[in-house]
Amino acid sequence: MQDTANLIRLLTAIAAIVLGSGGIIALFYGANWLVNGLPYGLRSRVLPWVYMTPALAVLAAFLILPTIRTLIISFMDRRSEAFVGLDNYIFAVTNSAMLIAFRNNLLWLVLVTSISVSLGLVIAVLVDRVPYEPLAKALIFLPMAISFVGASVIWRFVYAYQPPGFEQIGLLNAIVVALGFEPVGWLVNRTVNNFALIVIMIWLQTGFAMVLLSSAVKGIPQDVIEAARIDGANEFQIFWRITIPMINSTIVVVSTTIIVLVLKVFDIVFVMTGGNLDTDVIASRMIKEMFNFRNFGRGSAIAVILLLAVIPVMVANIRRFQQQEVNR
Amino acid sequence: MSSVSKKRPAQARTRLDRLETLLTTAPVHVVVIAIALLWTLPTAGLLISSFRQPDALLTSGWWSVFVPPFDPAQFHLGNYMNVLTRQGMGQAFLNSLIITIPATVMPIAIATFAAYALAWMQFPGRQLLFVVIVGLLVVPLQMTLIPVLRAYNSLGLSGTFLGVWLAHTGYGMPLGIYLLRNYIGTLPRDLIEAAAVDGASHLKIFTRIVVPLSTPAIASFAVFQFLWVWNDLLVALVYLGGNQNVAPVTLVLRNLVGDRGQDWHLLTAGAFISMVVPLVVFLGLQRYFVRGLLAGSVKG
Amino acid sequence: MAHIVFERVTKQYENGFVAVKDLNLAIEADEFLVLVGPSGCGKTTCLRMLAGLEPISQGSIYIDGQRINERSPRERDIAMVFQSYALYPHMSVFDNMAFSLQLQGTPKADIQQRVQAAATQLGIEGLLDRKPKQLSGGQRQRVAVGRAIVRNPAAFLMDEPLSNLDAKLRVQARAELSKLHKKLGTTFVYVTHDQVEAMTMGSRIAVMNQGILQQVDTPQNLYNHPNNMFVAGFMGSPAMNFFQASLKPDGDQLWIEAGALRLPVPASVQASLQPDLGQSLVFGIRPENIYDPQFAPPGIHPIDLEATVSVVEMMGHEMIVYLSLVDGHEFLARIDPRSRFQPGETVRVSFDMNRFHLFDRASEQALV
Repeated sequence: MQDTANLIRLLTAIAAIVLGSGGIIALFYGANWLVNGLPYGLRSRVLPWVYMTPALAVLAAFLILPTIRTLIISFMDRRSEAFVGLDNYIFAVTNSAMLIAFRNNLLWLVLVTSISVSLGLVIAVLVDRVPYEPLAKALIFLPMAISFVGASVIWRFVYAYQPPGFEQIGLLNAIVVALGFEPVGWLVNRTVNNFALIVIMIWLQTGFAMVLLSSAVKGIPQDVIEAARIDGANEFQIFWRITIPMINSTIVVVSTTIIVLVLKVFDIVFVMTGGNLDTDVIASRMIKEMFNFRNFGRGSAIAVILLLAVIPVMVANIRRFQQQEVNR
Repeated sequence: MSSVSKKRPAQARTRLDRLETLLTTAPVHVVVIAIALLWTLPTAGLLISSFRQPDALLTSGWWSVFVPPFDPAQFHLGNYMNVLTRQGMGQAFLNSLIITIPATVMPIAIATFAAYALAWMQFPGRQLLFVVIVGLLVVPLQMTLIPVLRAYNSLGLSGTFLGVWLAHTGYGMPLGIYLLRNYIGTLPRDLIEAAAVDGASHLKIFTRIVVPLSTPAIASFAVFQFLWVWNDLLVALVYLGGNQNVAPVTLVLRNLVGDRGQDWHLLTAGAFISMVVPLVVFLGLQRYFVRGLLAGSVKG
Repeated sequence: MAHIVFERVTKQYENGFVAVKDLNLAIEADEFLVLVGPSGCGKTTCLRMLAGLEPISQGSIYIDGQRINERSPRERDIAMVFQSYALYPHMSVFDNMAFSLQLQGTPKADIQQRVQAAATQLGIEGLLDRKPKQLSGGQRQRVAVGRAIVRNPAAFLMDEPLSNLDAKLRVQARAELSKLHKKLGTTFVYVTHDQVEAMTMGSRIAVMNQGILQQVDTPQNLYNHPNNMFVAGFMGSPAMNFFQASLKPDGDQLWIEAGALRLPVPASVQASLQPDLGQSLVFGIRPENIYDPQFAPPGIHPIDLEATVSVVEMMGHEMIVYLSLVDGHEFLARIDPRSRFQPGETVRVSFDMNRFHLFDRASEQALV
């Protein structure tokens, strides 16, 4: 039974894949064929829009229009039936649970960004000097391939807690006990649980920072380093006075990327603690308002706060892009 | 490698020199190896545990398997059989494939056409459009969830694969267009023009010249999008809702954590099943993934 | 074999820059027309408008009497060789050459045969399986030409196809292209900034400057009878010497006075110069029309004068001498290598007054 059902699913899947991808290609070919009937002048004006339209349609349907809609909903009540002014925003910045979420998000932002980037940088510089560099990098980078859910399970296991006296199966508590302390409930103890979650994100993001920074470090011309060495700089001085200033722009890009990612972090909190015990962050509060409390107005207002937080990054991206275009 | 060894000719190296070299580089090795180990241990622990007997898992740490005597019989595949058949992980694995492949192919096709138009066709508003797309790169998904979900509910798209495909296509589009347009824009103008003079239409230039020459960028985006979709929880959670028939591995694993939080034999095996495809893709195509990362982008 | 006509063609870019202005040019079927001029003169823009790669702002281009402004490149039946060769890097040499035929839907056997024939003609039949990356510069250039000839197009457009070759190869490739043109008997439109290429290959040369066509003529006429100072100065290396001058009558004899220079006008042209008496003029003479009197050939009309040698460049088959007049005006002479001119010496040189040029200083147009 199960097998037949699976076979049918598999066939459906293959059919869907063929239809989905083939359909898109057929769409472009068909439109192109139609446009080819037009005279040259008109054709060259129409054709770009044929190529652009599917992209513009999905961008509009899934990003642009919903964003505008969310902005509007954020000023309306829980069922989006009446305008409530700034109520939802006032709630979002005064409610005690929200304040905890803000505090936690700030903690996440500061710790994840600073530790991932600095650790990534140190590894990038050190790994350059060992012969087994590719292996070491691959091992540190590997968590990037793992989903937040998968990573959460991995770390739940590391944090696993058994009452004192029982054999600890979590790595961390086993170490703690071996050192002669009481085991710690890492995820339930309010003083450490946020840090326990943040460590997961650091574990995930350090590899990303390392890979980007490592390629920037390798991009520093060897003769600059050698010139500094001849000028009498030691390795530390080279690191601080040559390496860091020369890869400054990469550090900025890596940091902003991590900041944006951390702002929206949701999965780890959702899977590990469900946001209980003071571990909520803004994004997980938003899902709670939306699903658990069915208050679309408040959920939207929280989403808008997230959007406001990334706007500086957005502006910086556009500036950087326009700079690139000028330099082309 | 160190400056010490460089200063002296190789043939003059003595055992003492080598010791000196070792001592100066030793801290580097220690730090690198320590970090690499630290980063690997959690995953290794999960992998080893997933093959252990359920009760052994709960009574001793996974590291105890290294304590002699080493007994291969303590490992088995039972956890995997259990989680695949009885916990719905097999179904979910298939669902993840059904979701991920079209949700990777569709945005690639659409984004490549758009990137070509943005890079090589003349039309008004081209520059402005691209600036908007760059801006959309960092828009948080959360901004779009409620309106899209509502639209899906009224269109009957929630809980369907089509809904998830389209959503991932939309969310992957800014990054895809950004990466591909930057790459396609750097192809030599002469090549495009030579093909035009050779009698190629825009579609032929696209399929015969631009796509073959852009495979590195397309591969980067494909790896990126594939990993992103496979590992996604939020989109699946919101648009697939409670429909277990269509739930991908991330969702099933998450439910497993909620329902069977202490059944480590199931969680470890389940987590590893959810990770195996991305790990294979990642290890096989790491080159393209890194290249995509280096193309410098911020995803929303 | 196409007859190509540019009729009042103007190209203005969106930023207002006028690249080509009011161009009228008729290119005969089976002619090798070279468009030459300094960089930015609009010659490449002309070629690109002809190819359909650049829209035409005003005017019309006709191929064999048909207006082609609105046709896409593929509808014009032209082939083009690019400066960078623009070989498709992912295709083998064979596929590069076969690409346009494949697009036309030519039968496979036909493609095979035509590519083979073109490859044999160019001596690249051994390279058909290679990728462009594996070829030398000279081989790439041949493949680019081969890609054009397999199509058997109405016209060949070439945009500086030899500028990426080293000097020796370039000389060889020049001769090969000339031979190819004779063999194919098709219209060639060839763009270059190198006046040597223009002189050696063109059946006619069109000289352009700042978007404006200066003169179209055979190499010989262009060299001997330049229309204006730009053409006179552009064609020939080293360039023609110019002196600010005026015409002064002295009895029956007309004199060209240019600073310290005073040169008698030969009787044959005196009459035609009468109207320009008293005008501000420019006197021009090519370096090869200035001689060391010791080695002056017979049959010229030598006028001797004194000059100081500043630099002597020995080329082997000739000597380039940098000279200056008493008033400091500098000029160049290409003289017999046996000459014993030394830097610092004051010497006598002969101007061949059978071969000089006079231009109006304001309009820069040639007189006579």
